[in-house]
Amino acid sequence: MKEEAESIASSGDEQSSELLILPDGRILAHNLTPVMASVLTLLNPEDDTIKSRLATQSK
Amino acid sequence: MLCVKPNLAAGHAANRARVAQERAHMARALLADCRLCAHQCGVNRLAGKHGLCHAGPEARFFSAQVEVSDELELIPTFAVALSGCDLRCDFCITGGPSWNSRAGLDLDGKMMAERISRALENGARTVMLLGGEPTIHLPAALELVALLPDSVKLVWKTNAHGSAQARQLLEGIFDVWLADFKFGNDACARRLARVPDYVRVVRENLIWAQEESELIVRHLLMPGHLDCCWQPVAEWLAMEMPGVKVNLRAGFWPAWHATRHAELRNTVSTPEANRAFAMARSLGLNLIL
Repeated sequence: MKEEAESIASSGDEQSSELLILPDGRILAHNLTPVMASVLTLLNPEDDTIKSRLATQSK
Repeated sequence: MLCVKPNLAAGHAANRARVAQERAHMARALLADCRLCAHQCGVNRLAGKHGLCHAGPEARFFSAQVEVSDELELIPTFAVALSGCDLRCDFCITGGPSWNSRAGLDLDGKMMAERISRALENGARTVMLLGGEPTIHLPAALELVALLPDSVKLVWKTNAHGSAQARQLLEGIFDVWLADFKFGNDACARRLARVPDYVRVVRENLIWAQEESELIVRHLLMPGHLDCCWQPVAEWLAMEMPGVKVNLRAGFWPAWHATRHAELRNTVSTPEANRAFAMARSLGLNLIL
């Protein structure tokens, strides 16, 4: 596993998003990947901000 | 002295890859007296000298992935983030690699072009070059563009602090300029990003970009900077660039060295964000998501 992780890191293929969860429950996201957008929509399926971003992937 | 043959019409030309290749050679030679950004350091980066951005002759990147957090009309985008920047924004959300041009990995143009090709095949709509600040790596950026099909929609995500020389090299290459207008006055720019003469330089770049390509102006709303930064930015855009697409972003968080500044130790409050958007609407700005 370690070797695999290092291989991915050295190729620059790894993906990352940053999240900040606020005390009131809001989540701020930076460098949002499609996978992370899918995860966030599970937290709140009604959130229009995330829904609109997922919708662009099917166009 | 730079002499770039004009003239590619607004929107990129059918021979973009060839033009980019020619410009890349010019841009690389110009690193011997680097004046790509408005700091105009004049150092010889080819000889190992460093200006304010500390960038060497070769570009490195710290992220390259498909993202969906940019403007809806641009996503999914394959975003290539180059290390290093000519500004020193204390609140930079990618402060580590943006302040360190040696962060990340060597940018191998051919390998990156292959990754871009795969991303486009898998549904990415655009390719975005960003940083840090891509202007300081203009030779590598142009070399990468030279490897891409002319049909690809290219986005230049910039701090709009480039020089006239950089603009000449960029003419007709990118379809969309996605440009930050961070500060509404020079005092905030100097205090938070250590940059002089900020407002004049950014305005100059925005006016040029609007003539030259599609333009989207971004403003990251900062807590406590609605009246000093957002309001003058919004008023200027309404007056000088009516109809330009504006993305007002309220998702500030206190990253990197933001806590050096008392007002930047929090996120933007909901009332402050509401007031900022109300101001935009009252000025008739063309807000996009």
